[in-house]
Amino acid sequence: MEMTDLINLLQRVALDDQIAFAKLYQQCAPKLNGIARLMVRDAEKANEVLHDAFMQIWKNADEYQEHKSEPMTWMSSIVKFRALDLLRKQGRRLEGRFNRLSDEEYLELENTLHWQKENTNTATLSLGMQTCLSQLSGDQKDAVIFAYLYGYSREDIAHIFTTSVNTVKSWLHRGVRNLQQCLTQ
Amino acid sequence: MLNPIKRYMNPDVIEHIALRYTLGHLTPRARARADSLVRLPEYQALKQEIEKQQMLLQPLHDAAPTIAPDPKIWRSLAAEITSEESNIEPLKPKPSVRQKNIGPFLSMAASVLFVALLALFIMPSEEQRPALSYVAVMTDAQNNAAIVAATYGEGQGLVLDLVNLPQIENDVSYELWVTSKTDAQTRSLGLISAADTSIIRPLNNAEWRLIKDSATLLVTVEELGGSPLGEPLGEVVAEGLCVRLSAWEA
Repeated sequence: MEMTDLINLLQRVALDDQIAFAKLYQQCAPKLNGIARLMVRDAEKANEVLHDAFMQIWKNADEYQEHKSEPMTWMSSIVKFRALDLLRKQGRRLEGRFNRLSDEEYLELENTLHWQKENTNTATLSLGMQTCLSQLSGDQKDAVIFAYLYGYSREDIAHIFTTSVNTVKSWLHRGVRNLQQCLTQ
Repeated sequence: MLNPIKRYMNPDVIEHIALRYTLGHLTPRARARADSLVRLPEYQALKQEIEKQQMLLQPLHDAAPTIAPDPKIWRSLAAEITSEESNIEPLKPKPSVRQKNIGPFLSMAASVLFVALLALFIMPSEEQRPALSYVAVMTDAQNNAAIVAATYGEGQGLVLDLVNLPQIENDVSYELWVTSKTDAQTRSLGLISAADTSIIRPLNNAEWRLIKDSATLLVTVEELGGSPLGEPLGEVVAEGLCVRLSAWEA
């Protein structure tokens, strides 16, 4: 579906058009569900996130501004924040603390990361994004993907790479800045 | 120490906060504060930086899988939004269209006007329009939405939204069918014009009973004027369960 069609649907949803909402759901729910699933790593929980996100889309569609962001950017941000809220609620995200993980916790983190990588297809990214990602250092690229796509905190990423939180902050900052420079060239 | 406004004017601070916001690395409290700040005119630089970073990173979501959600999610959403609409005092406090920025709505004015004019003749006014009573999202073989059918209240009309039906030749027609829950028979609800994207079709009493007893709705491609035998003979191009919304009471 074209972006203009999605904009049109969101504008109709803002007018309480239930049919437009059904169409929007049909068109976007599978991708948004995939985004949620990558972050919460559980089918049932991803569906819960999707439900809450679509209720928020229904209630707040009048806040969407087409000249500010693309429809999928707006909707995926909603999904992303609902997913992060769920991870926090479940205590599955290290934040503001850097405790040593138990062997069991570490194994679970490794298994989860393995599943996430298996379910990420960077070949479907645009050529420009693929090219720019390939120009980042391996650590920068992984840090950006782990944070943005998988929803890991800086502390989580520090555990994964056995490094300091400050190093992760630096990878993320430089990674996003380099990505931006490359994509806007 | 800088006061909060000056602090948020510092480009390095703005970039830092926007990055943490976009990556989901602000605490819920800090995120809520950022959400409230960006609504204020003096924090537009922060708002723009967040939007810029979100636009930059959003394409990474193309690498996420596409996973069909559990059908119960849609059923739950449909029931909730219908229940909201059926309340006398709406739970959804939205500004009226007049209070909103009218600009984005101008592009759809023509289609809204068209539907509104049709609705004026065969359906109650928007304020009086009853809750959604039955809905069927008919999908093609690839599970993409092709056509959405819905009724409101006591079936004053069948609202059809043609999302993505394939092009057909001039010598064939689309025909809409309903399959009964009671006797599993498939009966015609008439032809659909492929030229329209939104149709409101009046229902007579017999057709309304068919909708109330329906298991599925489907669309087939038949010879011009419809199936000569009164049963589907051509290719099924869209099919979907017809769901009665639980919040609606017949």
